Amino acid sequence: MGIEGFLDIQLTMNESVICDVEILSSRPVYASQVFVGKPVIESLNMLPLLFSICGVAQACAGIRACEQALGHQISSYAEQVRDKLVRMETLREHLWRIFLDWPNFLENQSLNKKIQTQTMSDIIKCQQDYRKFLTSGSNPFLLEQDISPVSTENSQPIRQLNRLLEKSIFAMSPAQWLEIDTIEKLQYWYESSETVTANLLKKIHQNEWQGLGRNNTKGLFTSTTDALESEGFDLSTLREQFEDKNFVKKPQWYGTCCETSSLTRVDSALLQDLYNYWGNGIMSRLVARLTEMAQIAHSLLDDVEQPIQNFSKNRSDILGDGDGIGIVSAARGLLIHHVCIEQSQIEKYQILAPTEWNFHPQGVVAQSLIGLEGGKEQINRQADLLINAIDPCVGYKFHIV
Amino acid sequence: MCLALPAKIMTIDEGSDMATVALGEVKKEVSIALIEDAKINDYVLIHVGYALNKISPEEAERTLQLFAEAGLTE
Repeated sequence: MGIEGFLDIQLTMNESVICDVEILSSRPVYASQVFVGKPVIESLNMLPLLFSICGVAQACAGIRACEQALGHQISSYAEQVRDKLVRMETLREHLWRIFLDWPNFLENQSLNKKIQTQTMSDIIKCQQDYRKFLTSGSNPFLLEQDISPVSTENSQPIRQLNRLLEKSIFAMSPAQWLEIDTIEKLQYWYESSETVTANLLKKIHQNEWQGLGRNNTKGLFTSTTDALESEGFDLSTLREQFEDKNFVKKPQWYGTCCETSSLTRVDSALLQDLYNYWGNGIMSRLVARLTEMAQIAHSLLDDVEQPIQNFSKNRSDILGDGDGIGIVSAARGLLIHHVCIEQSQIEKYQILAPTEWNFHPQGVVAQSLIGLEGGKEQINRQADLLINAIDPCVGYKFHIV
Repeated sequence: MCLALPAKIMTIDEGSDMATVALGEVKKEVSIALIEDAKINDYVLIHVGYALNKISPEEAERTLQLFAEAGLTE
């Protein structure tokens, strides 16, 4: 067990069917308390070091929360830069997990270690070059940083990333792949392609597992503040939830468990078609992740000068002085930071990660696993696949009793 | 919470781009293929068997101190 903790998942089997799931978490959900009593500036500097895996998303949620608490205004350009960097990180994380995990679900496909490492290295390079270009070396996740607009978009890193996706993931350009809008066209794609992604979808089809894990868990509210407000969402309600210390450990929204993932925030004609047939089963989940990757890669090619829709705006008029909430769509789902600041020092710092929504004892993972049937070996394979499809970054072990 | 401990590079096998890193008392083999110019005694952040990036000794010390304050390294 590492410092990141893990999830202990117990599946109870009755006559070859999983009838109950128990999830115990030892994840350090209160680790952000280390910032209490520290200066805001120091805390923002330390955030991406402490939470380094999705460090960009963490830094973004942190700065948004602190800016709101302090009432700092932020230029729309800086917000666009942050948004682009978060989406780039999401793309990198999705790619990495596919390269690392998906070959393991295929009996006859092992990814050459050298190619795997080279590809991961290329992705990091694209991410670094892109950040360097957008920020000219300054840090957009610190207070009162002036990010100057660049005159022309350097699309080189993004073009390279699109080429990498074309070769390793889609067997066509991401833009072309996004034109697949029906189950039949998707089936044609995965049957005629040999990428690890196509092969996994092929296997799911052959095993008739498309609807595996289907359940009725609701999707959590989506992402940006603008979208939340248009949905009639009241941020002060969210702030009230943080008064309950248990909220960051076992979150519910209006008494209901919710899912937050690519599936709950990405939409397309293809996903609608899949959803109609297989609900939120595994085929919809995996295709949602691919769709998100293609959409990000495609959208990052857009002109940097083009305004981004629905980016967050300063919300200091909604919450009280010194109290801020920062929301970011991170790779695994919605990441929420809540901060209380008193005289430039952190008085309270809470982080609600997507994992806690998804692995709530009655949440989407538990609901997906209930009803699996077959021998223990098959259930092991299916459970691994489902958990990875919902949240591929979490340490867990499960056992069947 | 996706935490990663800073680890110190103890030995390097340049042929395989692998290194032995120390996380406190624990030693581990990781790939250093993703970082440039890795040297013995450098601090790196580890994730899924790869060193992701180098950090300065000061950052490493501060991060380890934060982990200790949070009771995560006991």
